[in-house]
Amino acid sequence: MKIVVLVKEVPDMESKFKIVGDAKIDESQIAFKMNDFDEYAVEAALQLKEKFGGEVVIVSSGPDRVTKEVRQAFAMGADWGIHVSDPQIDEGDNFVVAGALVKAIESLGGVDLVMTGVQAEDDQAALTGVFVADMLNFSHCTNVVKIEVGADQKSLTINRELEGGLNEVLEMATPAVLTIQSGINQPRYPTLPGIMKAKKKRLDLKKAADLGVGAIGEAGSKTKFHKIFFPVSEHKAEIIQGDAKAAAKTLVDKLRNEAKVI
Amino acid sequence: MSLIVDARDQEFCLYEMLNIQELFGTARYGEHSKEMFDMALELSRKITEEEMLPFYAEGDRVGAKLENGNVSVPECYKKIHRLMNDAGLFTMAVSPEAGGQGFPYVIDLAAREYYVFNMGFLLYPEASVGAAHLIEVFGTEEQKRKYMMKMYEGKWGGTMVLTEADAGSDVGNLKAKAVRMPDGTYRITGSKIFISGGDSDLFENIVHPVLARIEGDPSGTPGISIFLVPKYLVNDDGSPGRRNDYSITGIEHKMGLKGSATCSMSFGDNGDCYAELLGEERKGMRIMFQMMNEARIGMGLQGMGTASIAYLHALNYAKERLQGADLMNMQNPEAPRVPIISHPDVRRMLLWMKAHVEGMRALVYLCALAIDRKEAMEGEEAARWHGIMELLVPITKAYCTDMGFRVTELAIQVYGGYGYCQDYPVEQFMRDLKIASLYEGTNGIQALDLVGRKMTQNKGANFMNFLVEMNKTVARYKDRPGLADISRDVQDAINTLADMGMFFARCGKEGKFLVPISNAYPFLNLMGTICLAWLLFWQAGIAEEKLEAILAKNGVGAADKKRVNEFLREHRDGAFYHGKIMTARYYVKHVLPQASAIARSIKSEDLTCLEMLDESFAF
Ligand SMILES: Cc1cc2nc3c(=O)[nH]c(=O)nc-3n(C[C@H](O)[C@H](O)[C@H](O)COP(=O)(O)OP(=O)(O)OC[C@H]3O[C@@H](n4cnc5c(N)ncnc54)[C@H](O)[C@@H]3O)c2cc1C
Ligand SMILES: Cc1cc2nc3c(=O)[nH]c(=O)nc-3n(C[C@H](O)[C@H](O)[C@H](O)COP(=O)(O)OP(=O)(O)OC[C@H]3O[C@@H](n4cnc5c(N)ncnc54)[C@H](O)[C@@H]3O)c2cc1C
Repeated sequence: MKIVVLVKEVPDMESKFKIVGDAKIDESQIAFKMNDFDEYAVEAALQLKEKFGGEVVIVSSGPDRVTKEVRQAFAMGADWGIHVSDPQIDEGDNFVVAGALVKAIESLGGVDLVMTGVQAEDDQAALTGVFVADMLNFSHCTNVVKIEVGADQKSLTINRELEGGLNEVLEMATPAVLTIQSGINQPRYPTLPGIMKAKKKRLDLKKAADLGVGAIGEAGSKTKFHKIFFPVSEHKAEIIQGDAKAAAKTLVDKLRNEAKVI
Repeated sequence: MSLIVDARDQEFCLYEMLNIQELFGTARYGEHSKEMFDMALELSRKITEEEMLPFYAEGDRVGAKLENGNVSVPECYKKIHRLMNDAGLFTMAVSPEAGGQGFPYVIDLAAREYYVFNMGFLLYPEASVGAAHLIEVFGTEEQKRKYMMKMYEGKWGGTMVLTEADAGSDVGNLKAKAVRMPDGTYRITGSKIFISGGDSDLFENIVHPVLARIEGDPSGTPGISIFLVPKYLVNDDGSPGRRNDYSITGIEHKMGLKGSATCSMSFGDNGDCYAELLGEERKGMRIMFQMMNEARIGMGLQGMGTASIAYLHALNYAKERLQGADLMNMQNPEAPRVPIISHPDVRRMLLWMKAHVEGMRALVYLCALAIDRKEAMEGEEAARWHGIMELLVPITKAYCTDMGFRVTELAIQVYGGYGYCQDYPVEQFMRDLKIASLYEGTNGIQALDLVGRKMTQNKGANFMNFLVEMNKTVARYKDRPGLADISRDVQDAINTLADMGMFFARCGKEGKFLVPISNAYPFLNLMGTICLAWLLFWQAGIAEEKLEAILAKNGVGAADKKRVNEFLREHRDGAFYHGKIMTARYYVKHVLPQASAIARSIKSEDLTCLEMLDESFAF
């Protein structure tokens, strides 16, 4: 099977976030790491490769530093990768990034599966996977917690996680896009021999122009960014004391007349 | 933030201070890169935090068990052993030809710094790799094929069997006996004690390097040979043969390190304990000596690494624990409770810990790098640093284990009453670390090695070179605006050390050898303190230059203290460099003065401790 895993680099959430001019986070003060959900996707892909053979290709879009995360996936066992590196793509929204990733995937000339995390830990948009599926015209499944591949290596039986502990079981066919939910597996640790090999694995660098990505930057985006801010927590709480019946009455009264929400 | 190792300080030490990147220019490490090392260290961090730390207490509470002559390790050790072994961590610095990963020793230590606090577990794989290394260097091709490969693969274990009841510090007094058989193999008899991992259920087979005396060989250390004693004899096709004739007669009940089985072993009760000679006859001690530097630097790492995890835990606790009001608000009972890191006495403890941890880190890495340089590079510079390393090894072993222990003790103090309780990990850090001042040559023996051997080794040139290097560092940074005053203190201390060197030489000439001998341990402390002051000052010099550049780049005038502090609070690297300067300043102002007090006491030539009668100690 030929499997592509889309990997995103996200800030380590323990970093100090400083907003500059309502618009950006000061990235110089931040440590980055691989999106956890993508790590599950890498592991799921490696397990399929171990079973059915083929190759696992990592595709990631972002500045130079994302090569660190790609090499991390190499050290786990992925075969090679494409680094889509163009500031104009980085400036765009998820739609722009998905478009660029699709061009990179298409440059591979036919893949069986595209896997990625259900969402990114930073913006939690959960959009990239489904955008990519739509643009590639592949069927897709989100929130994947179990994958079974038939002997023909084309038919898939997928468990999809729903609210309340339910699973939905779906059958679909390759080529497909799967967005992977946490808990599907336990991602392996890289090994030292894997780390040594990672350095020598092929990593192609592609700019927007190399891939023929048309819509870039703000112009290609479907959303408009307004501002970024820390939500203010207003410690406003009133505890209504006394007999439950009377307190309930007071509560309803306050909700109706003061807060005007009912 | 990791609660085990300050990765930023580690990076600073390796790349900004010691310039380990120069190894990338050598033939041996030409394929290596910082990115690769970063990944390796990240792997070590992750595996330790996720798989080891959560089971640290369990290993202690369950402990190793001896039943029917067989040792079982805490069950939780088995998974972590498999994971770390599969990742190749235990053989990180082993040469690729022998099946290892071929990393420089200094990076191996940096990776080990994450998990070295858990020696109760780690002794099993580390002793195994150590024993395999002995076979790699001194074994025959057949022994390598038969034993070494499986040991490096982590399938078989290994130990180090020296100590007997009457041969602890005085190994030369050992009584274990070897008899030569017509086929060239040997049969061993004797009893050994305190053998770490003498048995375990982690491995299919265990190979024991055992020190013993061949029948008829002279007494003392010159008559000692070293033998390989496998638990199961190995058939020609590699399959395990009969169980060898030795038994585990007991395991110790210890203060810490409880997961590690410290075994008493009885060899040859039925007269049939098979053994093979390793290397040549009567070269046992020489063989052990060749492993000494790495083994002792490894002990220094245990002290430093355990201190590091204890310090970071205490720091984290001090930021969260609310107790008491701010000093400026003490009179007001309604004043808000503050985190204890606000209290001057707690800050003092934290800074003391930070300074020692970071100074020791630099010392341990400096020694490790000297070994790498000697192996990877030619020339006078590498040889000179190797000599300085030889001088510093007893200090690295003894000073880092003793000061590391004090750091763990202070961590308990910062935790208050909670630190004394097993719900928190700091008391275990302290218990597990105490052993490090005892094994691998007690710290008292290290001090004698320093005074009796290392100070005069290479005709005293190592010591002179060490002084030269320290003086060079002071000369380089003494005119920096923020460092002028502490540079004078460091220079004074170096002069004190040089003076002590001459004083000891004079004592030797005048036949007053009892003065250096009975003051060996205080002298080791004096030299360790000055050594750490030098290293921290060196770091402050680098940090001052970098901080100056950062402030200039961001248009912050250094004169406006308030503005500078505001800026540093928001600037990660800036705050880090500021911390390095403060740490050096604290150490030089508050710890270094002890060195001159020690010098004064030694130079008094007072020998009360020898003149005291044994009969007068207690009644
Ligand atoms: C948990 C644990 C694990 C161990 N693991 C191993 C192992 O795997 N293999 C192994 O072979 N051994 C092992 N040992 C043994 C260890 O190396 C010895 O305990 C150590 O060498 C000290 O010997 P001793 O205990 O007999 O103390 P002693 O030699 O009796 O020393 C007692 C005190 O006297 C001092 N002293 C002794 N002689 C002198 C002298 N000449 N001058 C000045 N001071 C002196 C010492 O510094 C010490 O303070 C282990 C010990 C322990 C506790
Ligand atoms: C085994 C044991 C037995 C005990 N027995 C009893 C008992 O019988 N009866 C009883 O009432 N209590 C008892 N205690 C409680 C004991 O007295 C407290 O643990 C002790 O007072 C410290 O308080 P704490 O643990 O809350 O530490 P904290 O007060 O949180 O102190 C933590 C650290 O902060 C420092 N610190 C705190 N405030 C300041 C300040 N203002 N300035 C500078 N430094 C500060 C402390 O010195 C310490 O290093 C016992 C505790 C233990 C562990």
